[in-house]
Amino acid sequence: MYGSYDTSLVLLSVIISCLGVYATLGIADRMRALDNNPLTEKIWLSAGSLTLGTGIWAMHFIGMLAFTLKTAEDTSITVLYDLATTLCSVVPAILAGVIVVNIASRRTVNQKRLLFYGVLMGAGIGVMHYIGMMAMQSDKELIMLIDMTGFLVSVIVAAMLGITSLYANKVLSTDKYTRTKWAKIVSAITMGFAGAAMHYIAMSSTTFSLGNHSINDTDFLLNPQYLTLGISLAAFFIISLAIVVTVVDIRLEKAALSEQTSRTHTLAAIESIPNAFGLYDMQDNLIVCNNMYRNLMSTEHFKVKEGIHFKDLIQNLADNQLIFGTERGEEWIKDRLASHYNPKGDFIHHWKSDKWMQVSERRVWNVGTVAIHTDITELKHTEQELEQAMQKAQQAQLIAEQANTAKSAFLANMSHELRTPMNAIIGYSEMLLEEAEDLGQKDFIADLTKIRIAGKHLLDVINNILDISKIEAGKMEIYPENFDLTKAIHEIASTIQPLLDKKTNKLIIDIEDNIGTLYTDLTKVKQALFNLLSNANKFTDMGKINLTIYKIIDNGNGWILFSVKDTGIGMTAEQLDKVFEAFTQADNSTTRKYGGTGLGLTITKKFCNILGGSIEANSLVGQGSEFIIKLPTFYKKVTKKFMELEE
Amino acid sequence: MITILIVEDNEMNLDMLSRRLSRRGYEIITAMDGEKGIELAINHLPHLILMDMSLPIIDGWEATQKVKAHQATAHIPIIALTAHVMESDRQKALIAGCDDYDTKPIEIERLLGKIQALLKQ
Repeated sequence: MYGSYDTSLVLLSVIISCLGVYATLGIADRMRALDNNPLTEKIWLSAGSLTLGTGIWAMHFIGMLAFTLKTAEDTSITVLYDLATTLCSVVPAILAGVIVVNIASRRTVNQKRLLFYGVLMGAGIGVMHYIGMMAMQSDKELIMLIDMTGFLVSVIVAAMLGITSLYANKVLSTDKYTRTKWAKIVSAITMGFAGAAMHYIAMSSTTFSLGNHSINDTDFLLNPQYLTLGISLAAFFIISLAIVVTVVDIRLEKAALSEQTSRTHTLAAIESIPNAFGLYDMQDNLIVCNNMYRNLMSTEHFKVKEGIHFKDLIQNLADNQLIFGTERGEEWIKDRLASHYNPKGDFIHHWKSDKWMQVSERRVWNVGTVAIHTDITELKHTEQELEQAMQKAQQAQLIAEQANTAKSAFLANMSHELRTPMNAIIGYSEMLLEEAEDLGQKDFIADLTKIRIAGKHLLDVINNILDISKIEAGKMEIYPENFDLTKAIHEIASTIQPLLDKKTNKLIIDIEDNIGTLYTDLTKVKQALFNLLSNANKFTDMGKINLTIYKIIDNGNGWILFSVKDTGIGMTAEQLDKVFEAFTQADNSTTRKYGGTGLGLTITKKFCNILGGSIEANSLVGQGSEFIIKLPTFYKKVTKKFMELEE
Repeated sequence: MITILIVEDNEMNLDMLSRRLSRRGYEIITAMDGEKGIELAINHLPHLILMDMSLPIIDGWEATQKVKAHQATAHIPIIALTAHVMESDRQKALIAGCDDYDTKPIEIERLLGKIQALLKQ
């Protein structure tokens, strides 16, 4: 007797075997991805073993279907299968499956174990094969002689291929979590071939012959066509199911993974916020928060973690009195909860650790409440410092104002107190002069005149000091007006004329053509020019005094220049240096000789300055002096802070 | 004869001014406080009043207001005389109702000019 094979069925058997392994490896992958859940692990293990078992089992019987046993006369022998034995044969296949799944699902496998399990697997398949063979029946007694060498070779080949397959699977895996598609395919093919190889080698080492005994009819026998069809369908169903389940499970896991990823992203995002962040659900349980929030709200005996209730958190803050206001106890809690349930804008928590946090809570529809605590400590400290500085500044300003008021009051009082007796001195001396003249008492007239002159001089000094004080206190009012310059100059000239006549001096006025008008304080300009002219007259005898007036443009602004030049006694460089300082007429004898208070030029300079201009002097001893006043043609108020405070 | 009422609390100034004006032919009546000044103004209806501002009982500003408010005396010109020389003092006097203003120490010619100018009106 000899056997022959139907090629297409052999091919089918190999494919079924490979598919079974492929599905099993898929299941092993799932198990690898699982994290220590014994129950699901067991379910997957069973499913994987069942898949591989039925796959190899189906391969075996398809292989048997492909095999036709013929007599020497070329007649086919009808082979039937015993149902019970056939069913039994699936058990070792499933056990082999357990081994494969077990190894394939491990993240790491050592060589020894790989070898051991490979041998066991080969043996399992072998046992299945021979039990399957035992189920064969024919109408005559079917005798099978098994060549031991062939048997051993078949088992060894199966074991070797199994080991190779598992090893390939391991080597081709990129890491211990994922198995590449190729690893799986190579593994599936080698292991599928392992089963098939075992089968066909074992078959080739088996010699069939028919005995003389008729077989016992009592057993329930199956026609191989039906048997194979059934087994194939079952295997196909199981394998398909395994693949579908695996794919679905991968999908689910991917979904879970993406959820995990998005959660990780969210956590990273809220962790990167520079504020304390907490998100509460509609029931006010904490869904998520960042470390800053956790650290801010946690205390030694109350650790903030997901799931805690907002009320508990607030209660803990109140119990530990961590925030200013918490000493109000229940009332604080009530207020705090009210602001939480019905947020009305941001508010500030001043922590007793001297931290200032701005609390911003927002109700988000269908989600809950977002709480953000921003650290504004630095801002608060700056604010406090600023406030202190402001207070200091205000105090300083107040003191300055008071000082100024006191100064003004002093000036007014001093002026009043000095003028009242001066009034009597000058008034009585003048009255006595009148009476002495009336009575012809000429002896008294000279002395009374001295008293009157001294009194007038003292009054001038007082007036000048008062003027200087007023300017220095910022109390000197300025009344700017438009006036015709030529007209004003002629008025000044006629005022000074009697003085000029006394000293036989000649005033030469030179005004630029079309000089036009000025906008400034006329009285002060007149007083300044009068001072310069009377000074020039004072120090000049029978000479010339030139008053020259012209306009210039400087830095885009219009200026008027008044030059008063005399041919008098002049000044030394030292005298010139101090000419604008108070009480510094060349020396005391000058005052005696020429009169004056020694304050005229000081006041003139101050007037020029408050009108926005300047004055300078040139002089040569014995040749004369020149004073030049430079004023803006249009007076603009200079805003000096303390000047405004005066009023 | 022109009558001038001088209201001044400083005895020396009052004496001096009275004598100097008398010498120029004015009839002088004097008061040393604001209250008395108002009373004399109403009773004697002088042609002009020289009013010091810092006065006891009723100060010069108030006395000026009262004189100017009184029907019989409202027409009498008043010259404020003060040793206060600040610009604000001048304004204050004019606001109170004074017709003119002069500062102490008195410059007799200047004051006479102001008196004559007001009497002409």
